[in-house]
Amino acid sequence: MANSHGQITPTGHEGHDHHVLPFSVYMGIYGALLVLTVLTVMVSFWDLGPMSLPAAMFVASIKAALVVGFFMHLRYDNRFFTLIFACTVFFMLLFFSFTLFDLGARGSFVQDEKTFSAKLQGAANYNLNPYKLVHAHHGSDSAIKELVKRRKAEKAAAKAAALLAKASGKKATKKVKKSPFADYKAPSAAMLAKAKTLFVAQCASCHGADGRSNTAFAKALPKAKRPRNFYVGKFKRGSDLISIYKTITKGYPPLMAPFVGLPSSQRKMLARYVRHIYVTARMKKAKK
Amino acid sequence: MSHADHAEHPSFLHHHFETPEQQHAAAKMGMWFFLAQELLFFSGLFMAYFAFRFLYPETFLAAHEHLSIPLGSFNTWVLITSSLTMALGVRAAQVGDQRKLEKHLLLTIAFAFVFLIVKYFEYSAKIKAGLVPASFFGMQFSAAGMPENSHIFFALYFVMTGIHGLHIIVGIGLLIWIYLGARKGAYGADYYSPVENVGLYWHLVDLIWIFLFPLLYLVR
Repeated sequence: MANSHGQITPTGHEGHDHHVLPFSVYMGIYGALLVLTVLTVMVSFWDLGPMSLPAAMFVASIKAALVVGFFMHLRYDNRFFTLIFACTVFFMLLFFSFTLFDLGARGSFVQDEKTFSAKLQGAANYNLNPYKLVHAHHGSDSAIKELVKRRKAEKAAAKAAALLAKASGKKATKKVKKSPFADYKAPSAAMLAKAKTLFVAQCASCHGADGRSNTAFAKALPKAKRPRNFYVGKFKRGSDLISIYKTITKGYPPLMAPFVGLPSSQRKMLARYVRHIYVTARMKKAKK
Repeated sequence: MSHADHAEHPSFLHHHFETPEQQHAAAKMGMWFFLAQELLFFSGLFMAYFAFRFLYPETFLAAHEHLSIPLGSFNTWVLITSSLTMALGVRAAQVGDQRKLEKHLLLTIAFAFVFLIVKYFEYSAKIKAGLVPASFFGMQFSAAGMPENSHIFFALYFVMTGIHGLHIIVGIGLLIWIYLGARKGAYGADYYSPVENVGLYWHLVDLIWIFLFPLLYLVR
């Protein structure tokens, strides 16, 4: 309510005591919120198909209404605050619905080729891969923990050795020479097979199907410009996984083309494949 | 009202207000405008979420498997409980119960820290698993293991929960400020606007989590 100066004052109340809610109301709302949280989790396990998102949002909205209405006292407070809140929600819904209308209507007649194929690719990847199995194998926490532990131990050992060498005053280092590939973890055979198909499709025209660059195209070039034979030498742009990935993505002028057009998952697959060739070839050499 | 007679002018009442009620309502109105702005600000992130979920539903479904439903549910419980203790704290201020106000503020702060600790464990597991979206996202996984565009889900996850977490941290600061004031006896039944406004802020942080939880952890 506005007084004669146009200022807002509480409507017809004296003091603050009037909107003190009883303790039981707070506990009741708390209980309802907990029950609705359990319901939210349960709803997500029912197979509601396309209705699952609206259902989840509906339950969340009831929870939100309880918090706003009772914990935030909006139900008992100045109506002007309700107006502010209602306007906010209204404009948010306007924003959501119009953007989604636009997004939904766009695809039907102005089909963005790239987005569409990426979408298909995503679906195909998901169906092709026993995703959860891959996850369980590569992403398990224990495996990561083990790796981190081993790295830490190696670092500590190296530090101790350096200290020892310093203490003895002579170049006592390089006594324990470890293979740089000691903790290399090979990709699964299934993944390698898939990566090989991809490699043959994308890279064989220059690097050869085997990756040795024995192609006619390569032989026609002067030695310095020939595509890399992955089995020998050090890669000019770095031979670690990330460098290989970068080289595939950005290319290596003038002849190696950037493959940024490939989906990143495929570029990663190729990087791992090339790295696998690199590591296995060097390990074999070291054994001899 | 004449400003000369200080006997009828409580110390907490600023001179540009006529009555404590008017000052209280004005403070709360300002808070509600701020909360409206917060909601509109978060709505942009929610819109981004809806748009990308609309475009890549199968990706979101697969990527969300990396989030832990038990931890998310536990944190939901933590925040709802902290909202209750906050509301009870405001109620204690309204009825002028100094001891209960301090107790409930401390409980709320404790729950806020529990929330952050759980989030810390969730984040560190994700960082170790290579799920932070950057140019080498997913290198620790089999390259083909994750569906195309999974990084979008994790970008949204980190930005949305990150900004929410920032709000929690700010909230802890505000709660500590209120707690220190309460210990000095700054708040009572006739003046508790800061307590109530920080309470409103804290409930809003809870409100946003109520939507984040099903959207990020419970995709179907």
